[in-house]
Amino acid sequence: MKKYLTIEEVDALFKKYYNGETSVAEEELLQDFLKQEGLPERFDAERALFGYFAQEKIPPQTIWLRLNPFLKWSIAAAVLISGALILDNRVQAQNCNVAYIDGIRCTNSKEVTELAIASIQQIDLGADEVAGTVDKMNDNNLVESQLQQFPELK
Amino acid sequence: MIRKKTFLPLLLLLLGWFAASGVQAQNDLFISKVFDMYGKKKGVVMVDLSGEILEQYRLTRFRSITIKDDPEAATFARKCLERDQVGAKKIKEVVTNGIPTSIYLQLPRLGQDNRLILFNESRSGGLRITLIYIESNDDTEAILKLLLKKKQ
Repeated sequence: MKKYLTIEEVDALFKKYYNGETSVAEEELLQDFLKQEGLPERFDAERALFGYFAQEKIPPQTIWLRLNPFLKWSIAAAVLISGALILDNRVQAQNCNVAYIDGIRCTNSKEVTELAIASIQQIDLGADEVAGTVDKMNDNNLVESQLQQFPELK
Repeated sequence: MIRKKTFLPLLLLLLGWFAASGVQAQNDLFISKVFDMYGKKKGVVMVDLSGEILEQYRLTRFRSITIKDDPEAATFARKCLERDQVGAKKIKEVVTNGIPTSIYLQLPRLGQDNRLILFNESRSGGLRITLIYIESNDDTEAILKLLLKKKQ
């Protein structure tokens, strides 16, 4: 059960404290006492003193510092490998020049480009027809002109 | 059982892997499965170009696949195209005997990229399907004009 100190007891403990005779438990009691709100002004100096020591005594610990070293290095390695994977993938995607012919990889730029052009030539582009359709797609008045074919809708 | 402390790095690696594999714009398309499934098979020619080599053509990505004498692959490619048509603009479609033999699709833009899919099926001299995927900052008209120029 938590012990509550009277002002007399506190004064006695501070006297012991300044004489360097307090135990750790007694210093914790004093700290608890000083954490209270609405204490008389005469304890301001002790509050400042203990506040300072309390902060110094319990340094802020981050989760990272508390981690097991194995886990810490594993996470660092995982982050590094993931970063390398992402970078490698981006570089590959940015500069890719490859063909597979019957499953055999070919990286000869000239040959790959020729194969790309050959694949375009296999597509039936129908120049006029495609150009016409594209023009229609870009025509903002398309719907209006088509609706004109149905005067009864007006 | 995987221990908690080994699970976290594994999870990070997996996330990194997914992030790395998900950066390509065409991964959201069904036709990417055609490239993945048939790209390295016999009787298939697959081309994948991006970066500097395409700069002169003002394209950012070019992928093509030509599959010969594989009706199953042709059916699969057509099914993938059907799925990718949702939300896309059809520029051209030629249907022969009830089967689409030529399809051009303009896909919704992804960021700055204008994306096109071209598909052709030919039966002269055996079954041959050609599927092309293109990404460019240019508009569709400019891309098709460029392709027509290359075809001539």
